[in-house]
Amino acid sequence: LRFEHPAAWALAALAIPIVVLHLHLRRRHAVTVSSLVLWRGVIADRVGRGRFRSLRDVVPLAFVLAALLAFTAAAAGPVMGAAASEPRRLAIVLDRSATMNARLPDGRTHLDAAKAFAAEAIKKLAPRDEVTVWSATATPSVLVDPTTDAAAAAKALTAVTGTLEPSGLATTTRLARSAAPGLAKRKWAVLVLTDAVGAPAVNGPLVAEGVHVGIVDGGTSPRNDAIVACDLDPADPERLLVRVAITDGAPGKRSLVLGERRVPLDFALNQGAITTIPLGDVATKGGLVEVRLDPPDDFPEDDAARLVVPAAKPLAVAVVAQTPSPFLVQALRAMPSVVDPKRTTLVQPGAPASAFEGADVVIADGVAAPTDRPVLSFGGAGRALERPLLWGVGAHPILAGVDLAPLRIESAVRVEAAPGDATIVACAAGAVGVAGESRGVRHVTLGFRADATTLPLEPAFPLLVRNALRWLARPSGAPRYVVAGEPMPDTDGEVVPTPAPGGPYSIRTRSGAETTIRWIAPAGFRLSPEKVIVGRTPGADAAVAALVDRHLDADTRERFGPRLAALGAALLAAGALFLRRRAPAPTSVPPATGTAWAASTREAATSSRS
Amino acid sequence: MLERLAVLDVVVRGAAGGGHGGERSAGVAGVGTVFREHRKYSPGDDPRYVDWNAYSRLRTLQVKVYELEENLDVHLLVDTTASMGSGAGSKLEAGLRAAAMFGAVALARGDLVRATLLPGRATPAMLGSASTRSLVDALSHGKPDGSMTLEQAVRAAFPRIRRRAFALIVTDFLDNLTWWRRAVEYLGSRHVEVACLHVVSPAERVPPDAGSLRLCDAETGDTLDVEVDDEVIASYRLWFDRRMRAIRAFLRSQRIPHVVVDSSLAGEEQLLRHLLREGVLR
Repeated sequence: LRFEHPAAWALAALAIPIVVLHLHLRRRHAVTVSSLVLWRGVIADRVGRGRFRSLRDVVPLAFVLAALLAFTAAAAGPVMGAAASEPRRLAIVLDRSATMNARLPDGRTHLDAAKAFAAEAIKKLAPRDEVTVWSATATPSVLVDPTTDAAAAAKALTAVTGTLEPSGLATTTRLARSAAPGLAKRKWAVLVLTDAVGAPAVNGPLVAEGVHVGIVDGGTSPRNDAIVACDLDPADPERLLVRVAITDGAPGKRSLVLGERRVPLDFALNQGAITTIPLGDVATKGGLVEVRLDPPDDFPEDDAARLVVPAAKPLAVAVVAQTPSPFLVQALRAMPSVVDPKRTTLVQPGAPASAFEGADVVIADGVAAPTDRPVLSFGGAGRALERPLLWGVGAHPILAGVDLAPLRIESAVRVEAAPGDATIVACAAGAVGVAGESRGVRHVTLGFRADATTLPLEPAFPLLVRNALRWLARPSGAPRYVVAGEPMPDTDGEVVPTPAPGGPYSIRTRSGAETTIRWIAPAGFRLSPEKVIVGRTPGADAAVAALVDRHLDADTRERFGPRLAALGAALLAAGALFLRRRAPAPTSVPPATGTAWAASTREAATSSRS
Repeated sequence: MLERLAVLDVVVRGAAGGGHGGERSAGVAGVGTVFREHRKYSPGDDPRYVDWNAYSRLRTLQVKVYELEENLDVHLLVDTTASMGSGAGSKLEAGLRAAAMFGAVALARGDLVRATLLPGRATPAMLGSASTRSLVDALSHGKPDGSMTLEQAVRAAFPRIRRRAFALIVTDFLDNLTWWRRAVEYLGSRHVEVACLHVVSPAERVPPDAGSLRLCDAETGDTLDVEVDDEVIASYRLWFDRRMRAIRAFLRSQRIPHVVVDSSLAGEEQLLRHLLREGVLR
């Protein structure tokens, strides 16, 4: 028990004048009366009344003195308990970057763990402490304005969700530090809860006094693999080419799943993986395929990609030849998914242009071909080359899966490549086969006839024909790829355009062809995540534990002043009941007329006269 | 004021007995001016009283008999003890003023007046209106002082009363009831017709206000410590009223007029109206 205003005890000195005044007021007033006869009769009826005089005098005085004591004690401010320390402010910087969506072994995300630690930190606040919660993203924001309502702050925390933005931890921490004091001379603390990915960027704010950094996952990086490219394999349109990149963490055992097919991925360290998956019937019938990574990692958003595979449309082919090569005919018949037999026609050389109406591709076997349509031309005019040694050049799609090494050829002509044409078959003397495009029409010219080579005997022949026909016919206008994170195309192949940062990226297939794809990296993804020096930052539990537990730092003072004042008032009222007397020594009296005894006296006088 | 008093009279129940030839009937035949009766003449009667008119009618000698007229022997007994001088408004002054009025009326009516300032000796008998000044002078010497019992004072003032008289006792009755009862009975035994003028001070009717008081008896100097509160005040009022009733009841039983005069009545005019209203003067 202590007193907030001990000087108020000086008021107790008022007891002296009170006692003096009491003695003065309670002294007997001498009053001269005509006779005591009248009074003796009264007092005789009240024998012993005077004995209580001292008691009646002392009791009110005791009440008044007790009231004075109570008032004095109330003024002195008796207090039990301790006062709370000055309120502080805790600024919690919550890393809401994409990496905070990573999951801990217990299934919670890093953000969930951070929120739990934040709630635990809030519980350690004193009742008058303020707490504010900052969202550390690319655009720092305040999630919870400074408030003393810890329950409301904790409730607001539960509604915080993760983002896919990059971390703005440094900026946010700096802002939180500068705004934390709020008022001058107020103590503050900043609790930064992050998964430490990108933490070196906040090392500056971290070293500041009052900043407590807690790593919610103990310093381990999140793990994420992303499908960064998904397209029809340029080498084999019946297969899906998928590229998986390691964006965060070490590669794990993952598989690509397409329908019921599962293809294990073979990650090279930090290199990602590229694999192809057969499309099956979808390659010919078309449709939407979805490929996904299994098991899901910390970021399932980029673990799936969808692709609209256009239905394979058999081509109408017009063969221009005196006598078509039987190998060519058989090859065309062997690929009904590529060549529509019903619309395949044989056109004699010199036929009018109308003969080529409806033909998607023209195959000229040793004869001249029209130039207004895509043409696959075998043979032709030029300098003959005897038994040249041929090889394929580059990774042109026409040569996908085609191996020309075992080819034997009697003669060939050297083909002059026009500007923009690509040499696809060459020999020591020059180009033997070129592919190019002139005025929007593609052409493929091979300087040899199939019958003059061993090519028709090779498995590469139908592949070469198929590839050439597909290349000449151009692919469908529908997008051939859907990027992770992009909106899904509709069934017509139309893609809702999405402004996309990032990309385009070029990937190279195993066949050597380069494909340009567009990848919209979800914001905050880091293909090469930074590693954190864990030793310099404690875990979140340690950071929270480092905060002073102030929840017991409440104002436990119990003031007895009002109660004592009320007691004093009650004592005063009780004393007033005893002191309720009229003032002595009357100064005037009413006239004698009208009293009962006067009337009775008159009556007596009247009766006596009568 | 004296002119007004000259036409008034003291209300007396019995016959006068003061002698000296007054204006009041003595109740017996004698020399007077008021015809009483006729009786037969007998030798020795004064021939001047023979009614010749009756003789002419009756042929017998009839003598006219007259009422004997005497004056009234009035004693003014004024209590001048210390109790008469205490309290707000002087009871003694009011009592002396009333006694003077009473005496002036009696003197104007030819009565024999003696004033006695109790305790003390009576003044010589005064007669006639000319003695009014002497009476006032005698009464003006009254000072509130001393102590006495009414019985002793009355016995001392009337040691030799042998005939009928009228006594006006002016007192505050602040004495032992026994004593003043004996005084009244003593006067009654001496055929003195008594009227009591009870002077009351307002301070007696209304007790001192609440508080711790030390009451001092103005006569004896005795003190009494009392705690006056509302209850005591109410009890005092009750007690005072009871005492007044007792006095009145006793005087009524003795057929003695009891006139209460408040000492606060200011002026002779007001006092005179009160005495007239109370019926001791007419």
